[in-house]
Amino acid sequence: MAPASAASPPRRVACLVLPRWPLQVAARTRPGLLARPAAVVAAGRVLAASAPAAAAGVRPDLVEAEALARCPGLLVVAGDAEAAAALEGELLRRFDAISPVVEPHRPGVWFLDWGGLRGAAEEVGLAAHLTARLRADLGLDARVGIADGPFVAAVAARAEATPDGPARVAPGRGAAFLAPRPLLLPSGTDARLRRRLAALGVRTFGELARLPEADLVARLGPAAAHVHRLARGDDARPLRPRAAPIARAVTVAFDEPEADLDRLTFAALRALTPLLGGLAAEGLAADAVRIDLRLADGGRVVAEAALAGAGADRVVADRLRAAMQRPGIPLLAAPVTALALTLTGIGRATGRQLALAEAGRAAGHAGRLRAAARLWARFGERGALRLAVRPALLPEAAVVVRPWDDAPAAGPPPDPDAVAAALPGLNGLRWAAPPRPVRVLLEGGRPTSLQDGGRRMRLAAALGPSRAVAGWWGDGALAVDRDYWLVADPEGNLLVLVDDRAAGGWAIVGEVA
Amino acid sequence: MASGEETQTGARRVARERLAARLRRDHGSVAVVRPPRALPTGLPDLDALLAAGGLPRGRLTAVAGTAATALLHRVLAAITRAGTAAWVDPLGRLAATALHAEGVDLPALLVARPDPGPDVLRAAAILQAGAAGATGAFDLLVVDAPDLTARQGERLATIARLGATALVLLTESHPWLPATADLVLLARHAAWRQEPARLRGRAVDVAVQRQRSGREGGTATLELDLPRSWPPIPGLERLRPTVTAAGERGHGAG
Repeated sequence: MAPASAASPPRRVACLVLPRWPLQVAARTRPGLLARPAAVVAAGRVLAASAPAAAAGVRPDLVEAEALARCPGLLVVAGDAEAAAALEGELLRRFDAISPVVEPHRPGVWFLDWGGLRGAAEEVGLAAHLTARLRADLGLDARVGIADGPFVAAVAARAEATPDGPARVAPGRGAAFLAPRPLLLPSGTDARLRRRLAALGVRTFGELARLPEADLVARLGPAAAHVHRLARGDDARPLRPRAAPIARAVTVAFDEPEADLDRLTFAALRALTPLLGGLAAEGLAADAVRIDLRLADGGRVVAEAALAGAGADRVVADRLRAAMQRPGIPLLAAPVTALALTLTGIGRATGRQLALAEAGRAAGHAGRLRAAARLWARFGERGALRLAVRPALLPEAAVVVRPWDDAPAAGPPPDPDAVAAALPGLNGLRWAAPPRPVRVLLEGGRPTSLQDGGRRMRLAAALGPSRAVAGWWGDGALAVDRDYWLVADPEGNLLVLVDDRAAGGWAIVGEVA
Repeated sequence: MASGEETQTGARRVARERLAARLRRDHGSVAVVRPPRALPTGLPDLDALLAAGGLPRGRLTAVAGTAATALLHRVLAAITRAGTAAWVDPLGRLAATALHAEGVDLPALLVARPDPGPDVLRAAAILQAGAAGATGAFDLLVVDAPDLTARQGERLATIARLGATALVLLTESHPWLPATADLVLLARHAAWRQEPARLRGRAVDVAVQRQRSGREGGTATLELDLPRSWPPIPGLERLRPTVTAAGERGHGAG
């Protein structure tokens, strides 16, 4: 175990910036845009200008006519919000795959939790890999700054990072990094505070950090305390995980064409639940769902199920089933290869106070699905599991582990006495992973002491043996010949010992803690 | 000067008031029900020791001691009767058969098994961030990490604040716990309760070692009866733990 430390752990945050974001979005469909005088304009004002245009004096927020006056050869491109949203969706998908918390800060700027990486090599290596992929796959010019907090990371990304080299500020070095830099305060900083700091002659972060905080607050007001903290490198603002976007449509494709109405209904309900949960979390509801069935023979059938007033899953399932088995829909004649669900009539969930509780549960379900999806993305299937038990002789055969996505098994849970009959569950039991081989001394066939590594332990009580013998007909393909013992040390701590004659030896397989 | 936490609390209050105003505008008179700040453990004697009346939501609780696992199994059974829980189990120690015997509703439990080390914190962050919605995706999140460092403990405390889930660290009795966790409980095995024909249960001493917003030093002895009958283990009821000057036990912590 690492030595205890009183120092607070500097968390690590990466700031990813796509400079001239609207222009980079537009350049994806207009190659060469960045190399010529060009500007993206929305509502008559410049959103972003290319480097040649900027050299001619075109700046963001300039009125379009003035921009054209300053740069007569300027190519004006309309901002494309739809393309920007699609590109952001693709970026978020990539960011989610490498970071547990992603905060979209503003267009073209994202903060990512960069913690848990070991040292500069991993931190910079992952960032360099990310920027290289964005350039190769999407043609984007991205800069990354890494620091203890979002503010310093953003300054590092803008001031020091290059497309090929992320800028890293070592843990605890935020103040030193900022000190010589011009005082560029966060965009939300009060304009009056900016003016007053300028009037005081404060030009760099270091100069600001050297001023006594109490005097600064007394003179400039409480807002000054925040910027003073930032200048000192104290940047504790937590990242704000984004709310999941509200999905309104989903498509389910079947590996094998599906003709069974029950299974189709189940698949539709499973796909629909997170959509409804997402809506409910925003206080919205849908009147109906449009079901678009793609058939194996190339045909297509469209049905619609009403959702208004259907609070429980069972009701929704009944309506989906009824919609799909309407006369005239030849499901059995041609199995379904995919079904697309689209919510319609989305509006405020007015006048349904009682439905709020249902909505809350649905939102919780959506949150769990979201968490499970992110766990799978990072850790694979073991990231989100569901455990179940079944009657069996051996403890390992009694546990069924499935991806968490699977619907829980229907029916009552099995009788605990039948589950793992050779070693039934006991309050506080946990497995030793892996089992620890030990030497056991027996008297009269019962364990009386054990040697666990260099430690010798006298056993004060023992319950057993619980015999598990099975051949090929048993729980597994291998023959089993084991005795389980529950033994206690002199202080009453219980251990689970197994004498595995097939594997050849004693081991501690669990303890009751 | 307002601290970061106060600023955040203020921002939440403003957001709540805006939401209430919007609801009043759209729906007329409404009652705004605030989510409870604590998660009752199902053990009234334990809840009575806790300032909030249960495990604090959005905060880090550390549970250590020789009966910590047993205590959490019992709490988990109570939580999953009406809610949901997640358990980060990097070491694969979680015994599903024990949970089932204890009455835990296994379908209401998500188990994550990342590799030990930094991935444990990443998994916890994902689960806690997923619970950051209006109602919370999980009521309880247990992280089984006996060898967490002080640094990692600090990170976990920060992660706990990302959502409304009660985050519980199942760990060893580290010296850094009181400085890091909002609530530190020591659950020590006290004695086994046995009748001639069956092992009936166990007594567990619980002590509040640290409580950021409440009384510290409170203790209670919880009688945890076994939900299913076990055959007696001769002599077990006479065995007692040796308590050191620090009130700690030598074997089987966590």
